Amino acid sequence: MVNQLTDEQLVEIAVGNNPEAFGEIVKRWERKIFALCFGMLNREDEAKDAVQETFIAAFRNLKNFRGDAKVSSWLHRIAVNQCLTTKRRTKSRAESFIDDDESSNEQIFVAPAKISPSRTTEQNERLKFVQKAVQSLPIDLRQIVVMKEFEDMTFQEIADVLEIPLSTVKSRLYTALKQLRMKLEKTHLEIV
Amino acid sequence: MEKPEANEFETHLQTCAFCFEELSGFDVVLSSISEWRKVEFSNLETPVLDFLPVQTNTNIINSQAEETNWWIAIKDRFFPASPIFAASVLAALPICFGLAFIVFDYSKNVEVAEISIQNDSNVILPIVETKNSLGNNNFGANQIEKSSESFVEQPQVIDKATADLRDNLTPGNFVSKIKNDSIRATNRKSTRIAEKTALISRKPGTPKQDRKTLSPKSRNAPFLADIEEVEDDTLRLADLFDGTDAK
Repeated sequence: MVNQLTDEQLVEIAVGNNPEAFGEIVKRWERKIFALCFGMLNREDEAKDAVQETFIAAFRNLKNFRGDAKVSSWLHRIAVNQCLTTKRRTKSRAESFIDDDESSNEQIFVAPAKISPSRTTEQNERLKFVQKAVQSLPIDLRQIVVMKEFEDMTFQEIADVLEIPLSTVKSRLYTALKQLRMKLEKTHLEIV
Repeated sequence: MEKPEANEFETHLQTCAFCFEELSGFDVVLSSISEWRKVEFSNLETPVLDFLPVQTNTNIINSQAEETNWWIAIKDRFFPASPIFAASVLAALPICFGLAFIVFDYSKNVEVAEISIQNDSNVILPIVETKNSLGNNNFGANQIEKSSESFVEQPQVIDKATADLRDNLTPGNFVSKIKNDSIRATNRKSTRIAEKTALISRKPGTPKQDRKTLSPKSRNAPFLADIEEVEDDTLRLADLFDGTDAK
């Protein structure tokens, strides 16, 4: 029966000092918010803290929810802002290795490829390259990649969350994918 | 993309090698990101938020149902019949209140009028007030005592009536209206008494003012100026000195 209620109905109930209704909202969206935070911050502990802060902020601002947008878009917007705050606070632990100087790149990527010859380890290393390549993207490009590929959000949903035009979302995703491709090809060549 | 747009793009990809290569490169990137997500993120457990009770139960549904249906329950309790009946009752209420207000207002006017009629013999309030306000000099009272005893007794009755009316009536606009109505209802005798009393109590004025203060029915009564002229014939100072040869 709980599934029959929409997010907006649950918010209306939660506004009337009903924490259980808000608990249902948390249950529905915490996994996706966690994915967004993990994709943005690339650290599990920071992502968990960001999720917690996101829902606390949402609970405190329930009365300010005007209903103009979806509850999911509203939560994602809070999460993005929370991730940016966390990123600013910790000064971006996910340091971009590709933008660093050539010596540091060799120390990070070339060495592990030589140390782990097995195929599984190579795959793991490749995934780490992808992860770090994503983290090296500017924040406005990264959040779109994470939302599109981590949460399978549509372009329109991303535009609603970030409050930017639909064409901007598409162009930013194109730019992000192009940069990722270049970085991955570069690192692949370095590994090989 | 919509279907026509997608078909057009597919056609373009078959003819454009650059776009085809570009898109193929994106496929590699997207597949890598998807793989990274699957490996890294899928194993992570969703954090348990400890600031709220995450579990939900049917109380949410029940509470919502109670909140949305409480007024319907009240309506059904007081109006078990059809909504038309409830609407007719609600429409009849203001009509009943309006009728009650009209009846109450009418009965209040009748009550005041009855008070005035009960004191019918003394209902000369406007004239009495004129006497009370202007009769401090007792002008002409002695002359009336000489001429008629009825004129002597009437001011006392008027004073008593004034006191009674002041006790029973409160000042207000309706009082003046009731006074006028009651004055019209008095008989000719009481009107003449009132006119004579006014002649006793009022100050001497111009003939126009005198005609304004007196009602049309009292024109047969003598004016004060006439009385003074008559009395001047009886009370001349020169008569006192007739026998003394003061000249």
